[in-house]
Amino acid sequence: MLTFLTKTAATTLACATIVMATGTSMAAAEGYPEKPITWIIPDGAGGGLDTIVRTIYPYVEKNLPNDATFVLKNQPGATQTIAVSAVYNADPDGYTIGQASVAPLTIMPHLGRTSYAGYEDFELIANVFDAAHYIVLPADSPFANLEELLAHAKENPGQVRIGVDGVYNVQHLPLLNLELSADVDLNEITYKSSADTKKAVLGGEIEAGIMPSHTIIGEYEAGTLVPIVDVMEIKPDYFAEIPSLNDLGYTSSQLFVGVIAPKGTPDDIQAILSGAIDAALQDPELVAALEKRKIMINYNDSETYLARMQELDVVNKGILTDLGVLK
Amino acid sequence: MTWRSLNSIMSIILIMGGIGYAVNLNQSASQALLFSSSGIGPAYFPNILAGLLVILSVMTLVKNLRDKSPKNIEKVTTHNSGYILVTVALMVAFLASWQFLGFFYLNVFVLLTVLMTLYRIEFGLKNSLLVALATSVFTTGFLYGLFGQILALTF
Amino acid sequence: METLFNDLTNLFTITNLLCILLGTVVGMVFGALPGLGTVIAVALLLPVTFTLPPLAGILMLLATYQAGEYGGSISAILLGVPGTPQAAATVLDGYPMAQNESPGKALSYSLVSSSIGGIFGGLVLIFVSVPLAKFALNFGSPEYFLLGVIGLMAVGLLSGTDKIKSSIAVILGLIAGTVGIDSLTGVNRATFNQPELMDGVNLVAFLVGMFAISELFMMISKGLNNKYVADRSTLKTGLTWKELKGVVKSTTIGSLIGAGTGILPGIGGGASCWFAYAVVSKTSKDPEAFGKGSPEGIAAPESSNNASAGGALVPFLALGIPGSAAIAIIMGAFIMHGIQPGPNVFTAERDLVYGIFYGFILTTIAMYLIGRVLTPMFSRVLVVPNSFLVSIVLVLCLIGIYASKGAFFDLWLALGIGIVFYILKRLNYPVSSVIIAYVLAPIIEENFRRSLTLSNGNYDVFFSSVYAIALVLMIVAALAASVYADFKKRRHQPS
Repeated sequence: MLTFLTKTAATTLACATIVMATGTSMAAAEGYPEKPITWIIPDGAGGGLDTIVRTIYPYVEKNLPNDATFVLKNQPGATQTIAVSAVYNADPDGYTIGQASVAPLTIMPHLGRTSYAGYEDFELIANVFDAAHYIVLPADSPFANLEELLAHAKENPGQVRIGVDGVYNVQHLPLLNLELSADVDLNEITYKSSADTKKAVLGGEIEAGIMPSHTIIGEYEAGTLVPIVDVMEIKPDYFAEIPSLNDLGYTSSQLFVGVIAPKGTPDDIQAILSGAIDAALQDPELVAALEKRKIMINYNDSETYLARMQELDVVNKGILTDLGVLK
Repeated sequence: MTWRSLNSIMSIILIMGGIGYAVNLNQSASQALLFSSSGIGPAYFPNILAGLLVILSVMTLVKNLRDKSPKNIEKVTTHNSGYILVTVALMVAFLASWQFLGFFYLNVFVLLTVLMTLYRIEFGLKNSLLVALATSVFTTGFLYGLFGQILALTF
Repeated sequence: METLFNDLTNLFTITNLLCILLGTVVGMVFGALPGLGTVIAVALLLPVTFTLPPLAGILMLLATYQAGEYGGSISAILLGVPGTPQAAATVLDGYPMAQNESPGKALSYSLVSSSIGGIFGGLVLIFVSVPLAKFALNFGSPEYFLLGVIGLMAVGLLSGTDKIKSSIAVILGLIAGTVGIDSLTGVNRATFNQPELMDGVNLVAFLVGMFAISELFMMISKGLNNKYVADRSTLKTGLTWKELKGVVKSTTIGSLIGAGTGILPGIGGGASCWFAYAVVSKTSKDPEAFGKGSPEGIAAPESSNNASAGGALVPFLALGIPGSAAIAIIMGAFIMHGIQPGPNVFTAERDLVYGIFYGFILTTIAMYLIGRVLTPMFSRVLVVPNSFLVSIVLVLCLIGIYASKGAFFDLWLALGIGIVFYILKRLNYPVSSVIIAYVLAPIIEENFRRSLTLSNGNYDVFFSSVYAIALVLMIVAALAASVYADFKKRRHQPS
């Protein structure tokens, strides 16, 4: 009851701020930014997402008016929800933005682990990049493709073991969805990280594992690991010939990482930020730096970003409902 | 307070901690929906650990209550205990001020100055305050240079 | 031979050497500051490497990593506060030696054995990295579980006089290690609705609270305007040949154990120093001296720390699997330069890989030389009165905790842990076993449950490989030996 009340209160407050914000939005953008903008990173210093934001931010600064500067703040933990909550609690004045993947916005809220209700509680500024995760087999696997793997699993329920890097996350949910739609029972084995999954596949502990595309390029070229299907929608060019779940008649998931802001951030400030990110992601220098790191740049404006988020949220909510997690 | 009572209090705290841990654990574990084929759930080991902690702490408690040796019923003496308490209080004040008001470097400066002045009060207020101020200015400046400027960390 | 020559000319450039020097100094200083430690030092230097050529940048980070492993023991020896978790075992003998005998000597033992361990790790890396990395793949979840159990038994060997209190300390560590989201079911375990606890108790906050904050209270108690060292002659560093010979055996054992556990991703330096300490203390001719300032008790964990640093690079370079938090960040530097560690890196980036191999040896040499220069300065810390030391170390600890995750929750947690552990220490609970139990808890529990998930609940999985059987036999043998020793002791001293 209490949570319901606080949530209602929060929504009312949010609505009130929107009304107020739209009223004052014309004046807000003038001279923006007047002080450094805090960019909250949901990753520890030196982590994968941290280094990506640190590569990008100078180019965004360059494309913002009034000699804008960013202050980067690392708030890792709890599947990014600590950082996203910090954005949620910040003033919607355009001086706090955050980086966020899809898990804290479309999965964690449904598990009841967040102070915010979902992606609707934020302004989605722009998507920055996408990632692809593959189901990967070892070189000596008896299976050549997904169909063979699923056929074997159908005959031997619970015997085919697939490694994922956590439960109810961007790897686990698509796998569960695949099991539901193909009507097979796989034995999902949880590891601490994709690196551990990789070790287990190479060591023959499990029959297959899900791993991010950029971590297996070397093994793919050396022939020690064979990616068979992309569980995400978008494919990187170096694995262009490998099918995605959509190609094979199943439902692909999506993994995209963008910039969000507190609900009620003035529209014109959002537009300024979104425009600067767009321009930055077209800077040849930044494009080269990100391509070297195998990052799939995928700028989406606010509207497309929101549409993708809505679509994914419905899918994830559906999977969690089917599993009985969500009632 | 005697060693015996301190020991007993600590055992009771540990017992309460063990119970609190187990209660909180089983509350959230009861909401588990995903069951792996291992047959061993998320609360299995933690419950064993909590049980062991309680049993062992009770054993320590009993053993300690029966120990009436002169050493055990001696009073606990802590040299400079006042300073320890003041340090804890200052840390609480520092953390609260930093968390709720910000101004990290100002807080560091004040904390260092107050701590060093207090710690060296036996040399006289004027002497200790001056030395503390000088050291704090230098240290805070160094920290600002290293963390704030070179490493660009925000506090 | 020609390739070797080529590699070496690539290696000895001014940029590379300067980078190694800078990395070494930063690593040593950050390692020595309680709460900051190796991981933070490497993370903070990472952005600097983006602007450097790949080899120079990577060598800088490796030098930081290597020197940080040694730096952590400086504060462990001088203040009884381990700068890194890997230095926690060094406190047991390093601190008493510095207090009772000579801080300079204790630091010298640490530096020499660290350097030897580092060189050993480097040689392992150069000569056997590919076969070793393949070998490490044989160690799956059941084997990791068994290794964790052996680690816990090593803690048992270190236990203090009061068996019940020692057991409580171990259980407290294990309990702390279970807090957070259960990685196998996603259930929150004892997080008390704190998002900051979902990923577990922050290691830095735990370590700093337990060792540093409680130790600062102890220092206040000892006298605020005392100095640790009155006699400056004890600050002198350097060892005689005879002293060196005394630690040859323990350094060898430490290096072997360090390199061996280092190649297993996830076990790493934090556990290897305890393995080494336990083995050396049980096989020493003078077991009574352990815990009171035994040189062997410093040499064993110190050599194993640095050997495990070289060992950890083996699975990283050969398989692209980072074995520790610091290596995971160093991986960032590789990826930034578009280099993917893994099977191809040895052919695709041949010059770079060999540059790293020989450069790694160079970082060890740099560590030794800079250590020789800086160690006397570090030991001079003990001439500073406690009033300054306590205040400044306190602030550094708080900065370190905040820098690790940016969460105020962790600061409050560390303060609470500091107060509780101060009391536990005064009541003779052996707190050093808490940290190793905390490190081992997830290794033991997760791998146990994962093994059973892999086998669909069948316990045969723990006997399914030669390595697993060998580990089981080791556990049985160690248990039998301790039961026998206990039995013999009771017969000789009827009480």
